[in-house]
Amino acid sequence: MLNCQEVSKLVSASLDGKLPLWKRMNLWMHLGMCRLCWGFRKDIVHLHSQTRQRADEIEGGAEDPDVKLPDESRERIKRLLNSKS
Amino acid sequence: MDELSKAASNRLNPASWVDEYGDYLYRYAISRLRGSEAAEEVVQETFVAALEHVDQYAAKGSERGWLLGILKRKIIDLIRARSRTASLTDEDSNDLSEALFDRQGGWKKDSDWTGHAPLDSLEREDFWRILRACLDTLPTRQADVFVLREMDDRSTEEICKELEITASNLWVILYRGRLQLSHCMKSRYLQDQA
Repeated sequence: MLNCQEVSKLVSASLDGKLPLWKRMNLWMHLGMCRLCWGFRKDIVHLHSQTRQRADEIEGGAEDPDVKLPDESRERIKRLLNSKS
Repeated sequence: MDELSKAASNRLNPASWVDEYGDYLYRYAISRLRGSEAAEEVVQETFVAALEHVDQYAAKGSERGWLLGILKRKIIDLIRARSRTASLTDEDSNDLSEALFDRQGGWKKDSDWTGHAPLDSLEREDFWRILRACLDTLPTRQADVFVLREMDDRSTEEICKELEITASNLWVILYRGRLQLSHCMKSRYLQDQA
């Protein structure tokens, strides 16, 4: 039987690739009986999916008025490009 | 103006690229690299490289997509470089195992998962703000690896290859990063609720 610490490591590993069958079975058996580990898995999966969703939004061009290329950088880059072209 | 004429006129005026795509690229870069200095650096390198290779652009797909492609390569180059200088002891510095687990490997009574609010009870806007703050509490390489895996959705093989680390090393880094992040986010959320 796995303890919660071992299970937490399997939970993390399961996000990155398929666990071998016997590990998967042990994992789900424990999760089915342990509220805390179930909660941990739920949190880690939520972290995983929300982060991915946010990355998609950023790539899609989601606006963020607080995050802009600083004016100093902007001007420096323009000067640099003009000097090279 | 159609896409080709627009591209042609922009090619003659690279400064307009900066106005049009500077914020977008910066936002992307800072979401991955966290520091504004690093983000500004890769954005600058991206525009310079774009100018040098403008002939390769040839209107395949959008300008923004093309620039983003260059930026992504610059970002991973920077992460690879700073990963090389990361000491292995960095990852040991935030090993939460003793704080969260008892000697039998069970969750400690006062750990975050004993009856505290789940992460999915966080509002969307709060989630991203708190995640960003908590990413800053991680050792740089742990945060970088988390970003490459969870934001870029790069495979473990790819990350291992780029950062020249073993698979088992990667799993430990990801495990500690996720543990630290969820622990940090839950405690900050609880503080905000008070």
